[in-house]
Amino acid sequence: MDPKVLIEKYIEGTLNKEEKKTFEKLRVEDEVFDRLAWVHDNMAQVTKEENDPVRNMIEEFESEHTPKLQTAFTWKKLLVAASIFIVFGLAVLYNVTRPVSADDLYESYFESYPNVVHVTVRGENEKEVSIAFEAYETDRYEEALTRFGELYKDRGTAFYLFYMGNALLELDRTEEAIELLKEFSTTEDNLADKAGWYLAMAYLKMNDKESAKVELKKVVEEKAFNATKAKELLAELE
Amino acid sequence: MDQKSIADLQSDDRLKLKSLYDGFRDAFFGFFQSWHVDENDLPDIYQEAFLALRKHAINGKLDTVKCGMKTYLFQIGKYMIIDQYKQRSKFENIEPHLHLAGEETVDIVLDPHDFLNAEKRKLKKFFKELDEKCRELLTLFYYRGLSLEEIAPMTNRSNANVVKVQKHRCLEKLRSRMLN
Repeated sequence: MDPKVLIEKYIEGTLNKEEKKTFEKLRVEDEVFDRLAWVHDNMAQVTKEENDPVRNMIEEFESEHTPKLQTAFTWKKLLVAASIFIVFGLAVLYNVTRPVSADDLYESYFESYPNVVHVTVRGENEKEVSIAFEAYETDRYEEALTRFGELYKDRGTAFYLFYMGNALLELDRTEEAIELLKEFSTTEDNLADKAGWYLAMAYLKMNDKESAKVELKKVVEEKAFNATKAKELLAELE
Repeated sequence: MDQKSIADLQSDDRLKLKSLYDGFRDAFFGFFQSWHVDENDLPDIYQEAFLALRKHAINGKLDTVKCGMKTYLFQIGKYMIIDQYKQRSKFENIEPHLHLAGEETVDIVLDPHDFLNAEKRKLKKFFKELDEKCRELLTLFYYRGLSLEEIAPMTNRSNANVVKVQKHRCLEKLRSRMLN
């Protein structure tokens, strides 16, 4: 029997004895089939939780604890965007046609990813992590880079690659950043969906608009981190 | 346990809940970081533990408990972390330190249907990222419990079969993201 039909019958609750046997067998032997049944089994709970107003409230509370950097960066971005707007506006005023350069776009769109990994009170044994992120948060990127590198060597946790990539972008060591971000994008890390956006930023910095566009399109298609901005930026690059 | 805190927890008053949520957060993070819990997981686990605590308050489970609310919350956190890491032996020896002196410990067993574990949180995240049509369809079917026949006219689809095919496609999208 077609597994699709089997799953449908399972969802409808109309499997007969024989089909039930086949179903159980497939769940053990076929990982894809088993996962599909699992998704169905958990959808009721997931959609219920998704519609729970208190849960949404709690998620908001938690988001308020993510580093203050985000607000600061928003202002910074706004100022950069505003100044570019003014410069561009003046250019138009004086009837000078000056296209926005990749570098300008990079400047207006790039902001290094905030520390979302290391939060609040830490135990003494997490001191090294604290020092590394403190350096990152206070724009001491050279130091942060070295420290993240050591932590990655010791622990192998993938997100250190991501923060190293961000530090390298801040240090204008773009080619090295690209290497690390590419490597990071292939990992299973929670932050891995953010790699595409930063790769696009790096290509923009290198004035490689074509590669930037390729990455941005992927970001939009996969609805990854900053998909809306990616769409906006793509329009500016076209 | 402090009755006023229980009442606050049962309410859906934003300020009261926020005060409780923020009040336990630092201690919870500090404590479980010393357990070497991956820091990426802690915000999620804390939210789940807090929501489970609230459910227990609403169900009246906290009314007769002798320990403090913080101890109870930490026990829930511990249960969830063990569930997630499935390395019971690594965590068991910490148990004696988990309550304040003079307090009674509580054994907490959570119903898996009462909270989202790491896998289900992932599913919820992918669900959130689905296109709106899929989200609407799956919500109507699973959350509202409507039949395919009922959903068809509500979503401007010609018949139940079309809804079925599309529902399957939406589930497939989630399935493929879960396996990647």
